[in-house]
Amino acid sequence: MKNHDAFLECKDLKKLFRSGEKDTLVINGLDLQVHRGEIIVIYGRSGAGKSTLVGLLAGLERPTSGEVVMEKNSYGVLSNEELALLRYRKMGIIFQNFNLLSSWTAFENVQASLMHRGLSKKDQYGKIEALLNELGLNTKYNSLPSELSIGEQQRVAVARALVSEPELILADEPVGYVDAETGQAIINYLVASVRKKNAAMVLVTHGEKLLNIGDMVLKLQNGNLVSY
Amino acid sequence: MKNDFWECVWRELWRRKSHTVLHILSYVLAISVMLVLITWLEFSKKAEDEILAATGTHFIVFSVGKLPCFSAASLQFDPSEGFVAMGVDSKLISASYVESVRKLSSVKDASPYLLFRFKDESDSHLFTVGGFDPSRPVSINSTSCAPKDIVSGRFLSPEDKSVAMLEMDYAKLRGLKTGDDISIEGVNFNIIGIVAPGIRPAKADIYMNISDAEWIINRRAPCPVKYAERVNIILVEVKSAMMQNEAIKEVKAIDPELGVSSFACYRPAAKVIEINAQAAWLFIIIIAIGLVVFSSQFQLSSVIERQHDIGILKAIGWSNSSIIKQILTESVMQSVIGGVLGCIAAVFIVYLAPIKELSGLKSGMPMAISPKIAVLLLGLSITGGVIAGFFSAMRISFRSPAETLRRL
Repeated sequence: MKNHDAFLECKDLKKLFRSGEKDTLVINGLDLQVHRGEIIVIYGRSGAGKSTLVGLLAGLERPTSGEVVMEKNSYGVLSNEELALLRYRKMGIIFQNFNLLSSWTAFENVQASLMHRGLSKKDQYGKIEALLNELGLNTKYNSLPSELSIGEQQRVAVARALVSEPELILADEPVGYVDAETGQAIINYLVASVRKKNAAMVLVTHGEKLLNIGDMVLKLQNGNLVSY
Repeated sequence: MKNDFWECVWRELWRRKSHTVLHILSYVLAISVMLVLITWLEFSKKAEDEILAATGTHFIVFSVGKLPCFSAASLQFDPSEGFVAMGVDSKLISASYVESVRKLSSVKDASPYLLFRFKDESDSHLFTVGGFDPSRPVSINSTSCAPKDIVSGRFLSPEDKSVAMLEMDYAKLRGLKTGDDISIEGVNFNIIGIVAPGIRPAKADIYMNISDAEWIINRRAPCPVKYAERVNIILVEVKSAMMQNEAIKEVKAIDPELGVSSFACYRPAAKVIEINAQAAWLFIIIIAIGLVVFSSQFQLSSVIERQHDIGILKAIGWSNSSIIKQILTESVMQSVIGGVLGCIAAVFIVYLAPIKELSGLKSGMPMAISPKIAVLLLGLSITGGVIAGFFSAMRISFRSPAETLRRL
């Protein structure tokens, strides 16, 4: 893949966390290119910095040095407000621990990704219902996250990330808490969505069972990416 | 887009029902108490003005000293005789001052008065004769004597001639009653009434029309007096007790030699009222500050409870400005609802609770809430909501979503 085709690109990315007098370099000179229609799986052990990398790609974290560029827009020159807008317009994020809004119903959690986009209620409800039904949550619209099983929570998190039809999906252990069958169903759905919309997906995982879905599989090791 | 915004606001207020109700109740309580207090203050001010208007809103004007002709004639004239005011010798002052005083903006009415102390030739007892113009009751009634002071007989009328009224104690001392005659300077005056005026600054033993008083004084005094030109006292009634000091100042500005005597009984009452009003205003200010502080803390605690949710919303792309706008709107909505309900509650309290009776205010005036004050308090309530919302929104908006998510 050529450089100018990249939808998302990381250049010499470094992220250092300081705790007291101790510095930890979690990401160390990382380079990455993600192209439209591409699924990249990043494998790494626990504590390797996978979630930090997702945070950097999402613009939730600021790098210590280096830059992240999406379609020629360097995150470094964007304000937090502009980064939030970029996330809202282009990305769908599946967090490792789901990060569902605890006092919002399953339906409302998914709706959070569609609000303030100028869509009519009819359009919003149509999209949400279709997606929740497809993910087998048709009876759980009004359930709070605490009333859902872990697998159901994970599917709500997936629905929230996909409902806005994002160009980039960042998935942090998207099936980490579900059984193999449910996990496979979720992954199949994610992959189909990416292929259908010609979107891009960066999926990070500590398990090896998802490696086969990637167009490219990389290993996060010592803060850098190496071929797996 | 706007629908989404309002849906989020209502949903959030509904989700935290007990919190929302408590927050609104705090506004209802503060606004209703402030509105009732201010209404009570306004009412009591009017009622007190009404009371003070009948309390000591008068004084007399005179000039202390002895007329030179009285001193020169001291051989034929007893030194205890002469023009007096408040028990001391007084000089004559220009009658044109009566008109000047009457024209003052703080003065309701002013009238001429002659007060002369005689010595009875038969038994050497001293008595005073007060001459006034009965056609000017406003300035006479509170300073000299009034129709309501009549004990027997009737009060002087402007048409009366060669008649007198006697002060009750003097009449008793002299053994006189209505219908009898009293001799002054060898001239008989028929007694038409007995009066008991109590304590008055221009009190006399015998009252008569000012023309009769002039005539009888001129029979005794070594230098003639014309009340159309000179008088020794001006009786003054002020428009309101609150204007008493201003009126005294204005009178002294006419002629610095003029002295003023007032029993000043309005002062303690006015002072007490001022102290009560100040305490009430202080209480209102404390409630207003308390409302803003309490509301800010309440709103902040709600935002802190939701900081995880807010972090998630920011992480999925909600902008800071939409979150700030939502928190601000939630806070303002509660303050508007609380403010309106507070005003309605105040209306019920004012009309249903016996506030007038409980506060000991006796006035026929109705107690009513001023719409202007209600609108002002509603504005204060909304300002409180804006401050509380803005303060809370600012506290949470500067935190990065990653930091918020990492903390929890």
